[in-house]
Amino acid sequence: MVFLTAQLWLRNRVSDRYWRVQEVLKHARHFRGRKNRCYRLAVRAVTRAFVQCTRARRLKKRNLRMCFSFQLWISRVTAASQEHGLKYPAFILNLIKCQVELNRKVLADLAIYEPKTFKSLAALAKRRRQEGFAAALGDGKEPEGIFSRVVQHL
Amino acid sequence: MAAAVAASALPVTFGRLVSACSRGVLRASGPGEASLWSASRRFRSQSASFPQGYVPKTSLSSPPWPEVVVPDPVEEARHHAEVVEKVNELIARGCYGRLFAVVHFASHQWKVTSEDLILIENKLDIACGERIRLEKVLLVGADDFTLLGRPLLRKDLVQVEATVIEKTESWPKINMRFKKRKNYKRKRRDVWVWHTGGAPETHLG
Repeated sequence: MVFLTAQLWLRNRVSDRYWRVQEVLKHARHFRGRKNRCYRLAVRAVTRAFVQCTRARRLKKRNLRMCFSFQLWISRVTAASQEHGLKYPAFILNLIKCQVELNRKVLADLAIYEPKTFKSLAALAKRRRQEGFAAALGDGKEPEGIFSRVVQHL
Repeated sequence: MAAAVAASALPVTFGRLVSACSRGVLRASGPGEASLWSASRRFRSQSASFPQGYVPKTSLSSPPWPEVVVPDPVEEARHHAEVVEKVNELIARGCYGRLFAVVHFASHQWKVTSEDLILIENKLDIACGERIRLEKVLLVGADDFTLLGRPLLRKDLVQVEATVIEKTESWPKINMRFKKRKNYKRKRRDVWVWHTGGAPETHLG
């Protein structure tokens, strides 16, 4: 014999609905309009808010790193190198060629707080640039197998 | 070198053209030919000859950058040795004042002095209060001198030490993925560990 009455009495009923609702509404308390009070509207608003927050966290790294701070650091380093008579691309390139692996954030900080150090870095870059030019010119002699004549005429 | 070759090619062609013209001109005139030719020859022998390797000035005969004068290597080496000796003396005496260092740690470069605080958003297996030696030092500077590493400085030159002051958890960051009308919703609560470290000391020598 199977008694079904007990199983029909015992159902899974929600008893903590209040707290489940409050969990969502607490994130919506500072919203505008009925979305901060009514659960049905709040759920949608809160979901959108969380999804946008997740997406923005990834974009923030991209924007802050690449666009805002990066450009700020670059402009600072450009300004500081101009003070020492060098352009930014020449400065950075020659520092890299000297195997000095300082990033732009640190270079900007040095330019602001350690002017003497930055001056020595600029001098290093300048000297490396001149050495590069001298190396590009070579000996001044012509390569083998090529002759050139200056014809004497009036 | 390419510029020099191009420049030297030009006068040759010019010369050939001019010589052709002059030959044509001379041939046109009859009796005056010999006198003209001898006259030009005389003029040529009287003129000062160009020095060896002379290239007439054109737009390509010299490089577009201003001429650089590299100083004498022997003198430079002497000067460098002097500077290095002075710096070594200062370090040996220990009169350098406050030192700063540029350190590569946790995939960031930090400019660090004594009594500085750094926040690292990473999990490090270090207990609170432990002392750490930061080994990847890129630059060390004092008031009078700077030591630049290419790219890192030697470990026996500099010691940079730090203490882990605080190990806190970050505020809970919510990771939510949602696709509308597809019944897809995932929510995750991430909490990670933040380390706050102080860099009290940079030693030289």
